[in-house]
Amino acid sequence: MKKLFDFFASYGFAVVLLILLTILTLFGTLEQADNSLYDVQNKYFNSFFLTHDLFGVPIPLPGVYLLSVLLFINLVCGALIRVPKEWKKPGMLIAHGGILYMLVAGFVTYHYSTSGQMTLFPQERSNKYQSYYEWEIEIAELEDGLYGRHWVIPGEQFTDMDVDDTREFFHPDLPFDLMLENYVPNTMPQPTPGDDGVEGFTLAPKPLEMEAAQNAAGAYAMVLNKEKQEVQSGLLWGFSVAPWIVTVEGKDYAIELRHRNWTLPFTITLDEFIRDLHARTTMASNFESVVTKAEPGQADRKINIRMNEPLRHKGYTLFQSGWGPQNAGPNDRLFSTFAVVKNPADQWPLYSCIVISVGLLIHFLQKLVSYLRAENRRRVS
Amino acid sequence: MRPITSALLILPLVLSACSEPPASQEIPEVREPGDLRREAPPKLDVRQRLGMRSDSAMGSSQGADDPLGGITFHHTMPEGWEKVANTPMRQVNIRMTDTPEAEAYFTFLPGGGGGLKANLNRWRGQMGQEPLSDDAIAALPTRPIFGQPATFILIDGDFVGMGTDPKPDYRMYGLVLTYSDPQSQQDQAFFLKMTGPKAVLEGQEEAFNLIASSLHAVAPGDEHTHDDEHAGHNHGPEGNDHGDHDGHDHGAEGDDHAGHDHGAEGAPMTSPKDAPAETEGPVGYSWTVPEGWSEGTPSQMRLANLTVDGHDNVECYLTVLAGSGGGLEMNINRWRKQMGQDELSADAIAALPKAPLLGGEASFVTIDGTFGGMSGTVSNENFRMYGLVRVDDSQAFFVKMTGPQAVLAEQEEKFLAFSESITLGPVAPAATTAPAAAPMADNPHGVADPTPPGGNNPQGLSWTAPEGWVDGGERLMRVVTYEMGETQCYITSLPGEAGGVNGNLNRWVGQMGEAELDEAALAALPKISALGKDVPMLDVTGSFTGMSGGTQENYRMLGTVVPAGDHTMFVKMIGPEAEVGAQKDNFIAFCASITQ
Repeated sequence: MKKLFDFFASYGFAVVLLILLTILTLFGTLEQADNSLYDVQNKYFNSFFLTHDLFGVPIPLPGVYLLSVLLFINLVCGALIRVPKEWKKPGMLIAHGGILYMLVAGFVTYHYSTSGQMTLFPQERSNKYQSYYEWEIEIAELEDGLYGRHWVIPGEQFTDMDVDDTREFFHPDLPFDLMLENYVPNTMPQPTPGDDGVEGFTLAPKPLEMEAAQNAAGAYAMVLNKEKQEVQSGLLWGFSVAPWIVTVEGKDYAIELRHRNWTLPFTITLDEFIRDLHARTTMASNFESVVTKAEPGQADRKINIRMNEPLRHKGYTLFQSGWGPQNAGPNDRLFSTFAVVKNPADQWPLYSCIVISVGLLIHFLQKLVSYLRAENRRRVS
Repeated sequence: MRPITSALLILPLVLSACSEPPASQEIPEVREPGDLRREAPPKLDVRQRLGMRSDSAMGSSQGADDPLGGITFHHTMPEGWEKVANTPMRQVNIRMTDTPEAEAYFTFLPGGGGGLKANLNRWRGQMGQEPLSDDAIAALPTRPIFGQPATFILIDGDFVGMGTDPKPDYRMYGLVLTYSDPQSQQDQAFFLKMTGPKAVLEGQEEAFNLIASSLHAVAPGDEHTHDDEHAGHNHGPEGNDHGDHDGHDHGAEGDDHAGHDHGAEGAPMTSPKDAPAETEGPVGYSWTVPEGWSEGTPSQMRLANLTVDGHDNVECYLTVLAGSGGGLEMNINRWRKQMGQDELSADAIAALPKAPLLGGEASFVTIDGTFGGMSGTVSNENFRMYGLVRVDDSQAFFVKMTGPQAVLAEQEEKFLAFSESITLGPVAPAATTAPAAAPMADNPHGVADPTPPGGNNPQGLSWTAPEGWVDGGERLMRVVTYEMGETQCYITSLPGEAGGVNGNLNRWVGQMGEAELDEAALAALPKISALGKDVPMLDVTGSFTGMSGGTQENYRMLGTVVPAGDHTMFVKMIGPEAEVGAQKDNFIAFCASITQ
């Protein structure tokens, strides 16, 4: 056991880990020339293991996630437990603690953060933001002309399907089951003559896009009614402009394959979108949004969201990330796009840097004082 | 025990828990509507829902309004022909001025449109002729369209177009070009078709050739008026070539040049009812199961589903897709990604070894790695995948095997042997001629066939097709499809209860625009025999609205739903009222012939 502990606490192990992290950062950066950022992040930085192709030679490597876990163990063992602790010299202890804090921030961000976008035209309001990459299937009850209760199948439950897999989804409160078949991660519906395909279309697979957000997933779907046991088939496509509506036992349900949605605890209304252009150009010199934030139990609040001045509230951060449509004329109606991020560890990297800085400052100051005293003693002697 | 040893012992247990996700899963998340409730959307048809124009026939990129991006097609107008309004499926649409029933049109379909064989045989069926074999199709002449060689076909017979009465003594000229765009790597299909009374069309082959040779695409903003440019006289690639016998459809055994289509015995056939008794039975895939392997339950997409005895984590299956199925490169690299490997270049894929599959050469790939599926959530380390991919004009064939490397290393020969054993067609040679008076043609599957057919026939059903029923080719989600004129009859098999008998019968009633039947009415339906059981038969006339949304007036439907243990079989006939009426006895006999 001691040998194991000594191994994990060793400087040599730390050096190996840091070298591997450097290599992976290099490879991951170069890989982005051929693959989307999202795919590269998943392969190099969010993985335990990966295989990197180096001039046609497959090289197995540990992923950054695994290396970060090992580095955390190494720091705890070596920098906190094994190191002789002199409470008169707390600097390095504090600095290493700050590094550990930063690693924890990364872990929390990876597992507990969400990010997406919200697009609004003026006078539109919303309390939802949508993922750029993740998919979900929503089955929503429609009543009195409005969306009601809805059931959500997260992407993890169907994006691993092969094109020849079939999977059925059920819920005790739903009067039907939903069967999926022919899931493809990027597709375009193609019309087919006669009664081939589903609803007169087939889903032809396409290669994945360089920009992962441009992939449009699709699948064939079948509704199996448990009561009257009717069967209805339809097409689900990620870039549909409207959901597939089915009627089961006299009730309408909207079924939609879409990017994953999250709900904010407050509502944003875009009051005005301001865009300033550089003189005699169509390039924006400034763009910002005037919004009203509304939430139950609180007075509405008017806020300006502009570049580098996001709205932070209840753990959510709304950045002014873009606008459109592109090449809009002077009288065209513009929309504003916000990048929405929920990250419990949003400010932790900043705090950890402060902790590290404080620790190093203390350590260097103590070293300086110690050196000056030694010099003084030498002169005196 | 040392901690590291304990960890290594626990690890296999952990890894073994990373198994395939279950086929049936509960939906985990339920959300109640908040204060901000969205308005319910309107119920749109599929084209509107996909973001296409309601009159657009083409697929589009990300819901764009004009899927062709404004491209139009033009040609030189032959003398005596005039333009008519284009339709969603006809980018060029013309007819003879003096004989309006003679028409010609051009269709462009992104995505392959079903492929060469399926469409040629669909046209043959429309003309009341037997489908052609692969060899016969390969022997058809070609003519250029858009600078590419397109397959040319000439068919004489009784023409039954969509929603029309049969028209005797008709002729059809057709050109089919299937093409893979090298830039977008998308399959495309081009169809040029001319139909009309045979006596009129005998003199219009040059007009057909003129349209084909002059057809071209025009980009938006660059409009021409080629349609106004009438030919002074008919041109063609070979000038006046009325005697071009190469254009005739010689059929399987060779025909005379007068346009008569002969069958295997040389006897002229003027209508499908005169078809020789050795009409083929249903075709399907069959194979030899290697020793030590077992067959699992096939599915709609896994025509063959096998495993190696004693190794539940090994699977091998056959998939056949219409069209290119994404193509060779895309699928090879998709498999490599599933194994955690990087993609291969086009050159590397072209250099892969070949192995025989279904009469052709397939690319054979061996991939070692961690089998993680599409998203990598499953993690089977030290796995191996064997894959065979073959793409032809109309279909793509895949044979895939996955499992632990050590197991698969021993199974490579058997995998290749299994793949080589896969065949398509009747398992036994065609049966001998039956008396002309017999209503049924012999079906080798119905006689004695211990090997259940493959194809879309996971339950191993067998049947006897009535005389005159033409195999309509493979269709998604159908075991078999037959065509007789404008009428179709097909078998579908779905797992489980699939909606039940009464539910599906009433769904069909709804498709015919009629009111649902109550319990008493359903119980009073006449009974027929299918799969050895007495089952209700629906017989309803009305306006048929199919899955594509189009409505056909004065249609008739015959149908039955047969619960069969772990699956439910549906037999349905739909077509114009008169045609279906004439086929009712054949439908009943066909259902009675179905066995499992």
